[in-house]
Amino acid sequence: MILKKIKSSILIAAVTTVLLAPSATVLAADFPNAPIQVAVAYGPGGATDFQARIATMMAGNEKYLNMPMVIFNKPGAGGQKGWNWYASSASQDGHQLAAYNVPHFIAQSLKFDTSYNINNLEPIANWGADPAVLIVPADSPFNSATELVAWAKANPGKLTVSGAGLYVGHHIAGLQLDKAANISTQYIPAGGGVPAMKMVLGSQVMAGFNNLSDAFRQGDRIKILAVADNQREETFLPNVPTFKEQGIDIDDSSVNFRGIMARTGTPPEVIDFLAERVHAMFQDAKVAGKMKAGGSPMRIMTRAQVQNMWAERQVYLDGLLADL
Amino acid sequence: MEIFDYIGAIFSVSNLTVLILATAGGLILGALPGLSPTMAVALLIPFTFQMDAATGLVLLGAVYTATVAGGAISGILVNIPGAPANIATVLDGHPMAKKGKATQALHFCFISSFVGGIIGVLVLIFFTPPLAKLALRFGPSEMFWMAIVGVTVIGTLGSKSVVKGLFSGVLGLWISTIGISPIFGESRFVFTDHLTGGVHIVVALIGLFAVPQIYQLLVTSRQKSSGGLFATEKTSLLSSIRYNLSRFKALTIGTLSGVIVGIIPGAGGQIAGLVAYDQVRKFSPDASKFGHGEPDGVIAAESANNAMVGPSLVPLLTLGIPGSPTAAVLLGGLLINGLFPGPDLFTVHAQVTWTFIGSLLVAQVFMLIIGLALSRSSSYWVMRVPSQYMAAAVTVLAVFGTYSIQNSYSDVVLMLVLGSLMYVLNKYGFSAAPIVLGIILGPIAEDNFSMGKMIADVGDGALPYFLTGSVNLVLIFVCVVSIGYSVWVEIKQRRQVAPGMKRSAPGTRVAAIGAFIASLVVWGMVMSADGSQAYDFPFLLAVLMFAFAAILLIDALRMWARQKSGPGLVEWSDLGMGIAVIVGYLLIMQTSGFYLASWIAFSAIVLFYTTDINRQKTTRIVLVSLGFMTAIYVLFSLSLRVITPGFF
Repeated sequence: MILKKIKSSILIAAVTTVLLAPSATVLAADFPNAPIQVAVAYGPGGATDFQARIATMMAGNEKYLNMPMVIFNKPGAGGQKGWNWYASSASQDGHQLAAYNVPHFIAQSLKFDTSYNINNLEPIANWGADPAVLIVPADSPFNSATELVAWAKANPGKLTVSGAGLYVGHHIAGLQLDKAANISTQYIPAGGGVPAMKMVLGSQVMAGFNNLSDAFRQGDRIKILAVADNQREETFLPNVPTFKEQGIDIDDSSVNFRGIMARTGTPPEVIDFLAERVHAMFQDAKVAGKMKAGGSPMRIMTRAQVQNMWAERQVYLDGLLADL
Repeated sequence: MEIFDYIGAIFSVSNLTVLILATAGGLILGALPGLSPTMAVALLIPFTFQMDAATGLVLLGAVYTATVAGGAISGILVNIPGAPANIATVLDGHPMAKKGKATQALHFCFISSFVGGIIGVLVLIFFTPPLAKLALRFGPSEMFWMAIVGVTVIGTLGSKSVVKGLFSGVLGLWISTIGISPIFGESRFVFTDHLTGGVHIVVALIGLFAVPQIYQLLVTSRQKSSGGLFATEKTSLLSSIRYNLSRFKALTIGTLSGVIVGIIPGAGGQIAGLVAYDQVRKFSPDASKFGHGEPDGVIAAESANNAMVGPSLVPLLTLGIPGSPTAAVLLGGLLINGLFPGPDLFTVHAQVTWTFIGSLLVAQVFMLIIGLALSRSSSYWVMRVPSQYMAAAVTVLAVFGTYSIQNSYSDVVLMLVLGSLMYVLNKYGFSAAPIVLGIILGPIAEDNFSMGKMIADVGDGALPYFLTGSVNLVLIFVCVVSIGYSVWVEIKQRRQVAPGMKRSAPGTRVAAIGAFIASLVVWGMVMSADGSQAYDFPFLLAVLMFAFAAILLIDALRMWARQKSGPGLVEWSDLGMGIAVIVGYLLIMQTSGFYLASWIAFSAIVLFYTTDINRQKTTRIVLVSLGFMTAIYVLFSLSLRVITPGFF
């Protein structure tokens, strides 16, 4: 009996050795040769996850990548967990990509000990831009950003403002508000955009920064006081003024840019191929239709444009966060 | 009722086909460890792109309902809850199966799920507006107290003694603080790279429940020559239905707990079953029957976790705030079809919305019929699977399920390490349920306490913030009653049982010393950290662990002389080969790919643990494992596009 067991173990071992022989390395020429995985650093159901699923839905079309893109979630610590994993452990052959959120990952790389920064990641293309908006509960006494700032000046440190987490776009907008209006607010980092919104709806906080798309969907259950961008959002919220229009100097640095990136070390021809095809894929009419239906503002940018945007944000955030 | 104007649309051929397939598929997916309802719904979202809005949502809703019930199947039959929602079901469901009442337990599971599920959806249909208002009143302070209510449940969950239960619960709370703190952004207790991301709840669930079960099965197959597990008694469906419906109190408590927990956004529904289980046990005249196969435990837990489904959609449909992680994924399904939560859903999109809600009702019916139809055959067949085959299948599924949660090899390592520790802890009278509950409740308690404190610091101060407000007061009252009752029962029991007799659980000495050392280690780690705010909560936990360990130690010392040393605690000689195979499996998986490695591991485990091996048996083993892996490949890689480790 024991002899038979040993025999069969040897058989298994032999089979293993044969099958474990190194497979031919993947050549860039036949890229992609398998479904492409896209890591999302936030949980299923969140705005980034939801948009990523729509933005990548046409990948299987032969015009684009001829292979499906499969979303998987690695949520935790405001995105740090997923991006840490991506920048240190993902494959560098282009079959594992990740969704980025700017300014989140750049601000975190400056503030925390992360394994990622703009120098070890390569942008592919940008699909969306979701500005942060300042919101208050429907029954709030504040009807404009100016009124809110006036109250905060009279009651230093008393204004509670919720946002999706530490050093995400909402937090950056909050820091910009403090600086531009010379006030001090109490920022409450909720564990995501949805809980942050809930705290405003339930009047547990006095105000909040949240995604334009999510705030828009809340309709008259909240009041949207200002958009943290350089111009108004014409499709969804044409009537909401920017901070600048209300005399508070806040630019578009907190706008949540979402797109796809690869790891540095991915073959240049693969990156070029992806940059061209993914950019075209985002422009597909079906993607645009679903995005519009879901209330998600699109802003499609090429790899070169995103490279510039990353570099600009890096410089700006370095200055803003150094003051803290 | 408005719903009647639209309900006809459910009975179109396409919707009915989707409903039946989704319910049957959901029951199977739910039964596999690792494929939680959240995962199942997320995996199916891409399929809804090709369907019209109503059919897509019918699919997601039916899968949500069925996976929650399906998680009980593996819980009852194999002692591994399919999802966190089913932990409470296991506590009495598996003991029932061991007594030969597997079929009956499954009957109760589906009947109770049906009753709870129907009532939950009716609550959704009739009470949505007022309940949405209630949901909004749960701010940080209320959520904090909700978590504490959950903590008070811990002591009663299946441990041999209340103190061991509490110690395990606090250990779970501490495990939940590992990783980067979401509120403070600081890394805590990350002493190996595998822990950078913290311990994911489903990873812990699989590890703590499935791995000890694998080891147990391996030991069983070595010790018994025949592979058969337990007998199954024949039960008539009619008598099950009659008995189930006669347990009115358990059904009511379960359903009510499920409805209430479901509405509270973020409580996750994961705790609905546990809260219900605890309540029904407290209201029972004979609490000592629980944990040994008391049908009321199954009835309460399963009616609760399905009653949670409907109400968890209340805040989702009205406010866009999901009541459970699964509801969060459903939100994506709504948005993709241009359906924004809010009043528009019930006016502009009334057709789609009511079809969706109505289909949840119809899904309950299919779930009941399919579930009951499967009960006898599944319990009959699963109970007859030889234990070495079962161990091999569970090993592969556990590895696969763990990996697929977040494509993490570290998670697989973590799952196996946690599970192996749990196997040892089980032997010393600690149980997995309170640890998992601690891991679920930890972040809810800590994050909401921290946020609440930040709000209170610039407002009226922490005391009035946490101790006033009607919802807070109600929750505090529940906590006090719950703790007071547990203490009273403990005292009563100590009086009844002669001193020294009761806690003669195996290895009390070793357990106490081990717990004490563990608490010192945790304390040491907390003290050696930089002492920032991020360590306030872990510090509190270290103190609690120390206190509970001290009580265990004092108890053990008092009985030192009277104690006989524990039985042969860990059967390492029987397990050696199995552990070696699993370690080898882990090592080759990343290079050879998941399917090949799993096929080899499956065959090897069965081969080494089958007695009187011969050529014929070897061939059969290789073929069975090949068939098993092919089934997994077709279901997950081809149909659902789940990502597997390695290249294949």
